Amino acid sequence: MVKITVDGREIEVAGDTMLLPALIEAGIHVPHYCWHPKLSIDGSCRMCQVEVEGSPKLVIACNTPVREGMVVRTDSPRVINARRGVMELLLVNHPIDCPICDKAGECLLQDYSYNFGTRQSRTEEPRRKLEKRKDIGPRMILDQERCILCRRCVRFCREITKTNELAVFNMGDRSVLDVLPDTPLANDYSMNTADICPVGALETKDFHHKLRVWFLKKTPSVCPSCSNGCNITIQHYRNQIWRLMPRRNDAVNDTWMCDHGRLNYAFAHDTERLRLPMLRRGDKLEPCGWDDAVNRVTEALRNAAKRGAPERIALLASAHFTNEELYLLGQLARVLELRHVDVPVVVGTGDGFLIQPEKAANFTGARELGLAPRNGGRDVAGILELARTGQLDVLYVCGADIARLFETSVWQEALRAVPTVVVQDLFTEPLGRFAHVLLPSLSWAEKSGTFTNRKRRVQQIHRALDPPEGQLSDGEIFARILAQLVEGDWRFEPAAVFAKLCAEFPAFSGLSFTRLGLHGEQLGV
Amino acid sequence: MPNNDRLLSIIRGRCAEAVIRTDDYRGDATVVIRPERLLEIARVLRDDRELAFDLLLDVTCVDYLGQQPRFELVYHFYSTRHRHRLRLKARVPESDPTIDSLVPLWVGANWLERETYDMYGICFRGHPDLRRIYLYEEFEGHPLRKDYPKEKRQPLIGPGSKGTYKPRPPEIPHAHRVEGMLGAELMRVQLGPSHPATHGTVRIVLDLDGETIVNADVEIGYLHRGFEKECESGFYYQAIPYTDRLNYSSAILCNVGYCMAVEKLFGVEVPLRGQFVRVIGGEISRIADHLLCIGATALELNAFTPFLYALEARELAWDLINALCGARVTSNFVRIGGVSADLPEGFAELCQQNFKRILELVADAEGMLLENPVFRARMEGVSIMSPERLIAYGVTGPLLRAAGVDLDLRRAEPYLIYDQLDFDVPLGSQGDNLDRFLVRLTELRQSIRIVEQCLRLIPPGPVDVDDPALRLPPKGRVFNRMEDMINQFKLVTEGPKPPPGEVYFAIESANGELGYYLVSDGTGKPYKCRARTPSFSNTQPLAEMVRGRLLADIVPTFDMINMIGGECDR
Amino acid sequence: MATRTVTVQRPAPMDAPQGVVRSGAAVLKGMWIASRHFWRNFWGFVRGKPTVFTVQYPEERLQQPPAFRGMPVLVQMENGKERCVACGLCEWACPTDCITIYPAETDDEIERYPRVFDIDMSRCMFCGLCEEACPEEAIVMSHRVEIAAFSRRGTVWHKEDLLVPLRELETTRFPHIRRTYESPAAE
Repeated sequence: MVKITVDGREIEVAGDTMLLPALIEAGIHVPHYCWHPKLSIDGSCRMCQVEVEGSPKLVIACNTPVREGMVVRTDSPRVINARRGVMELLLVNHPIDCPICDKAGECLLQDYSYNFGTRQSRTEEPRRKLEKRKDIGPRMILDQERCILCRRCVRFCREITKTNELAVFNMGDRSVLDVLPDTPLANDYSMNTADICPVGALETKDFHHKLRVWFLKKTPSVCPSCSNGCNITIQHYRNQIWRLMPRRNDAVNDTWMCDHGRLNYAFAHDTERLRLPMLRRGDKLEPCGWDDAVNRVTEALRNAAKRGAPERIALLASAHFTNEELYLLGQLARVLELRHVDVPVVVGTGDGFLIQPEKAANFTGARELGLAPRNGGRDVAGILELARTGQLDVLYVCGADIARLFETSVWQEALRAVPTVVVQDLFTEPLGRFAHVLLPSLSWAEKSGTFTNRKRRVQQIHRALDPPEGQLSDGEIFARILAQLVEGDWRFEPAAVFAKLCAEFPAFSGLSFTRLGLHGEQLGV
Repeated sequence: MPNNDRLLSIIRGRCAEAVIRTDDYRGDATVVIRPERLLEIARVLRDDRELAFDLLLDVTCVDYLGQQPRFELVYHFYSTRHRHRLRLKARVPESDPTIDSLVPLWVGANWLERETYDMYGICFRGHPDLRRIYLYEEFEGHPLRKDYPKEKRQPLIGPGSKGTYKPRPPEIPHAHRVEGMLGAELMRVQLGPSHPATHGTVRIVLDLDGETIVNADVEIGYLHRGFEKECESGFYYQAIPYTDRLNYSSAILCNVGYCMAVEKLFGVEVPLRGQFVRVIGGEISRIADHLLCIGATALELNAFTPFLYALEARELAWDLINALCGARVTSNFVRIGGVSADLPEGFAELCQQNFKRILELVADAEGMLLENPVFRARMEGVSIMSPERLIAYGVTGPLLRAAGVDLDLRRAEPYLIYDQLDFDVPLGSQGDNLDRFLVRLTELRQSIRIVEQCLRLIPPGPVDVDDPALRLPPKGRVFNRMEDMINQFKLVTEGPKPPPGEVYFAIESANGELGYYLVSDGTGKPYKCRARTPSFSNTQPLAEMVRGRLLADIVPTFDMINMIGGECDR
Repeated sequence: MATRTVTVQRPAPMDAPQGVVRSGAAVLKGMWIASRHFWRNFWGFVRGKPTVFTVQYPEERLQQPPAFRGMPVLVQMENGKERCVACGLCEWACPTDCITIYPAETDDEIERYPRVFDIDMSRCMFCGLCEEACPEEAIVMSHRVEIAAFSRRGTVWHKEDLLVPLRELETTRFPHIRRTYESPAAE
């Protein structure tokens, strides 16, 4: 640690860093465009200039190492003037696009012009003409006029994805950002370039001309698409998700997320979602009340259990459930002494960076909470085999992962052969038509709770969308079933259930919602 | 400007151990005290000769959610003798939100404390009648608390449910225990909420002995629209149209008061021409307000013709406002740091022409009324209240001046350019309804005089402050200049951001002191936006004014109080 | 300070017996004033220059001043399209949230347009903040005021209903807006 003086105030900062990160760490805001905490130093924007005693000229804070006893001024007239000059130069050729630019509202150019610029212009149109709306990849578009040549995106493609699609061409005032010939910006992380772009030059096609950012409400959450558990912000408005954005967590995803995860949200606000419980009457499913549905499930479970055969019941939990819901399912399995319990998970490919092979957020959590075959119980494939051969009375399936794991004929035959199939899922398709009781499930955006990622980190999700009034959450459904089967306090309150869970499982001991905070906690051994 | 240092040092000297902190921000003297000592300090404030805070203007609360203690009670005082102001603050915790009631010292604290109880759930120890004032008894929660969501809906519960409105049982004075044919029972009459002879939605529950009013309970809250909650959830500039709806018969005055309070928070002053334009707009509004009051009084006392004359005159005043800002009632004229537009072309001539006709019409209305025996009989000597009692109720404006108290903020604390103008402040001699009527008539003519002077004196120059952090850039610059476009975006999406702090600013509106108390936390939205409205305080003494009088006296008294629902209920 | 206080002159008390006489006189005076108004209006009618204050709406309409704020409308350019680019500032500035915009992309030079632009006229309070917020002079307060509808749904005006040709606005509202262009604060 070294001591430096900033604006007359002495602060202590880490000794081996550059000045800009040290100042940001100390809570002193210095405007900057090209510097990014996870990228190399470029020093091209000149916005972070500060006055350092002993140096005749202003220096850029992002590329000046911290020294003991350094005296820095970030608010002297020289600095203010220099920033004004930089802002004016950046804006002198910037197109007057705010009304049609998706970045407006979260644009650093706007923020800094308003806070550090002149606020009144000395120049008028016309501006430099370059290519607008350039299609540079399957998910990205480029507006060259808006680019301020900070090269964050170029460095991202060079250093993070190592795919090198973007570059700045020509020199001096003819410099222009573009993709290399025949090299579309198509890597799995391409949409991050829109996040790090301080202006509206790089935009995602997904969010292009969709909504003004100032309407968005932001809820911290965790990406549900794979077991990496990237921290995200759900940005929603009018009970609809408009985009997912990565949230910085150095222990998990730095400031990035993959394109697949970012685009995987529309299911949460799909209007086709199953919203009412259904019961089979004849060969038709008909909507029914919650009590009827829950009673029917309990009855089936109780009857099967009464026949002295927990072997005739199988439970397929979902790796998309939160720890709290899975804990209750575990309790259900314990109460009924079930043996055939498993958590199917779709396994695809990973890339060794952020994308992990298990395509469900809480696969690790399910394993940690003991949702696995026990006492010689069968796994998923075995359970489907039992079902097909008529050895099951009740099959309780959560989520539709089995339809993606197995051949259609395999799971369809299996489900057809069971007298009572309970399906709990977001949509009626594909499992619904084989169900005798169909229970609507909630998406991750509609509930609060915790996920455990692949590296055994427990992280919180928060409710962003409001489900229709009266719809029970998955946890509440389990709690109601449990309450009918066995005496006890089975109310579903995520924080309380998590506290119970932590008391029961040693790996979770000592955790609580408050302690998890925004960045989660590692599980104990 | 009064000497706040001296004032604060006197208070520190009088009650040193009860004072936690004093400060003086933007000319507002503030004293923070220990809540348990409130009553004692308040008594000193009122009775000390050097302090003499005889007017309790406002009681409100600020909810600092997340801080300990959570609630801050805020009292605003004014001294009619020394013409100085004071803000008193005391914090109470969420676990026990209780503080002493000031009703024993100022009878006017009654409604103000009921409002604070209603909106924040603060309990006032020793309050004679602590029940909700705006909302119904079944309402759950206290809406101005920060943790009460604005979107929350609650069912309106009709009669017959658990706690429908029950007026207090009448205290029957001995003199009214009448014997005879009708027996000793009083008759309960509901006047309102939509009574043809009360312009304004208010219910007065009366207990009558024959024609004599034994007891009156004034129930307001029929027009409560959550002004403060709305203001707190929008940007500073978005609240301006809402202030129009406070006193909808003199909207520009409400605009002026609000914008000047925000400007006080920013510490900026509008250019001279802007100040003139504000005075012109405000005074025309005052004319319209007084014309309505005069006309409606005539109408409700059965004189239909003068009513039509007054309303025709008000139309002419509204025509002027329409030419000025494009709307007759909902003006939305003043902006933070200026006005929405300069005077239109030919405005002076239009004023001259309309004023001439207004004066003719007013003279006609006056000529029909003042000598009319019916009108005189119902106005003269009716509902007299002593100046001391009025002040204890927190009454200001024409109502107080009619009782002979020289309190007009335009004269007492000249704001804008009122100190450069020449006008009379009319006072009454007896304080009855006739005096109130005559004061309004005279004020109306003085307002015309003020506008005429302004139109003569108005200097050329800009009407808006030259500060891009406050006023939107001119449209012509937005289209093709980058920085101005950005400024436009930022000012609309984030709003101007005043420094953290709190101010109280009051103007003389048509009915009395209209004050705004603003608390800024440095963001673009007010943390607290409180309107101290004259109608609220002025309506409170109605019950006492009419007690012991005849039923028919309610109508002229209520008219002269000139309760404006939007302002009283907010 | 040039203000002073005056005490209002109260008319003499109406005590008997002069009060009776004065009451009678007051009635006559009232009739005199009222008849003066009648003759004034009558002469105006006879001379064809009516002085009656009432306006026979809808046959007669008032001439509104340039500053008049009627309902907010969208400027329609010569090519029939709206000038609005769906930037959303008006939607955000609106205190009553009566504006709903869904933007979309077009192939025109200005790439963005409002796919949906609705104003709920029953919520609109004609405050004009949308007009002030607009960076394109695309939404303006017209001189139109008739928003009556037979249903609540009918009070929601869609983009097609809101479009008003530029030509009409050039003579009504624009002169007022443009006045601020050259105001001393501008340059």
